[in-house]
Amino acid sequence: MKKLFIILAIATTSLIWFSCKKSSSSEPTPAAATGTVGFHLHTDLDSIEIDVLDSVYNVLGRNWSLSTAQLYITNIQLIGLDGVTLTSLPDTILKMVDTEEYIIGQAPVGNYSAVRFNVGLAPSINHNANGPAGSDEAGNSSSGSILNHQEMWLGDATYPSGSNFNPADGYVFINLQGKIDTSASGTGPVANMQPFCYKIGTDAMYTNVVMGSQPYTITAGQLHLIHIVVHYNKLLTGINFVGATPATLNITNIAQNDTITNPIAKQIHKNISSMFIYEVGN
Amino acid sequence: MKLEIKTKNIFNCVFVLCLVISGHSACTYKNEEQVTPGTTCSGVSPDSVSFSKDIIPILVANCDNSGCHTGSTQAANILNLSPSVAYSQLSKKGSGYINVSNPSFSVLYSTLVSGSPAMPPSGPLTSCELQLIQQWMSQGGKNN
Repeated sequence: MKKLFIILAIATTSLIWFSCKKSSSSEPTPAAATGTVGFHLHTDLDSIEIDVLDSVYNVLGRNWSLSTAQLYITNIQLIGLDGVTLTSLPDTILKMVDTEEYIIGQAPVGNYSAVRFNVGLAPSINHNANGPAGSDEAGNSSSGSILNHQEMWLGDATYPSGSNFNPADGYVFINLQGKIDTSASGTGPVANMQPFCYKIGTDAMYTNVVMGSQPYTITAGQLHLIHIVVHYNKLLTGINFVGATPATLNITNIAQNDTITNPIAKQIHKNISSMFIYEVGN
Repeated sequence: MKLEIKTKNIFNCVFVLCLVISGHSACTYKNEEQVTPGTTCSGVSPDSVSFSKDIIPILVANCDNSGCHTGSTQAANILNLSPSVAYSQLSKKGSGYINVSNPSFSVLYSTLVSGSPAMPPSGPLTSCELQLIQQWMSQGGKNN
């Protein structure tokens, strides 16, 4: 009888152990405590969303049209509720007009207060000797790299922007081109609108943008989008376009990007942060 | 004396058997608990979600009638969800509002479930409404 009892006891222990073990091993793997973060970025001129390039829009009383509007966003960091803790999402975004949604990466679940990022590329990437074949911030390195956009290569006196990549010059951080009415009324004949071209680059233009507080929650397994409107006209706030000459309407190389000697470049540098505004209601 | 021992042994066996049964039940019960019954939404058929009949009423009730994503408001400038233009707005190339391969990663769905705050501001859509939107996208997000 004693033997029987011992056998039963061992059987019991084994059964409980294995059934419990089976139970836990058959549980679904707990979801990783991260959620996906993305940007939803709109291209605007004031409060007008730009869907069609080369159309003429009246922006604050002056006619504009855009043919190119794109920029690099890097060094994205989520700011914790304490305003101090930062979660880095090392991704590089090339914001183009025809793409609004950008998946950035995974972040720990929790509550956050805001987001900050840089416009442009860090000097280590901007002047990487391997050029577009080098790594971007996300570690991508191939000829299909996000850096391999010829229109985003800055030039100098030797050769124009976009013709060749020179690590000494780096990349265009913001490429804004189009036409603007330079008449006093701002609404003259469309045929008279003047072309403008701003290829903004150089390390001095690498700008940190800290968005205001707008608390949000990253939930496990879900996508959280941060909705931001990029107001390109705000890049040119403070520039007088009435009768503007080519010197005012163009920044296309290293020399013209000098924020000390060129007052237009200085003004643009000052304006970069103000381009980004949270989308209303999001 | 012998009878007493025998009784004790029988008692021990019964006790052990009870342990076996209760232990096994306790452990397997956990498995059963994890099975979440699927939400059934009346009128929702996986093959028949219609944009005009199923999705538009949700958008009108929650986004358009509220006076936000309609007319010339700032929200409507970004996304106008009035019935006549809602589909063209949502399907705008590159906007990401509709994602047929991964509806939960669409801009529309993620804004409804995990926006900051989630849309609409008046309160979240019901799980059935969200399910409809997901199904509509997984069926191709058509203007049907």
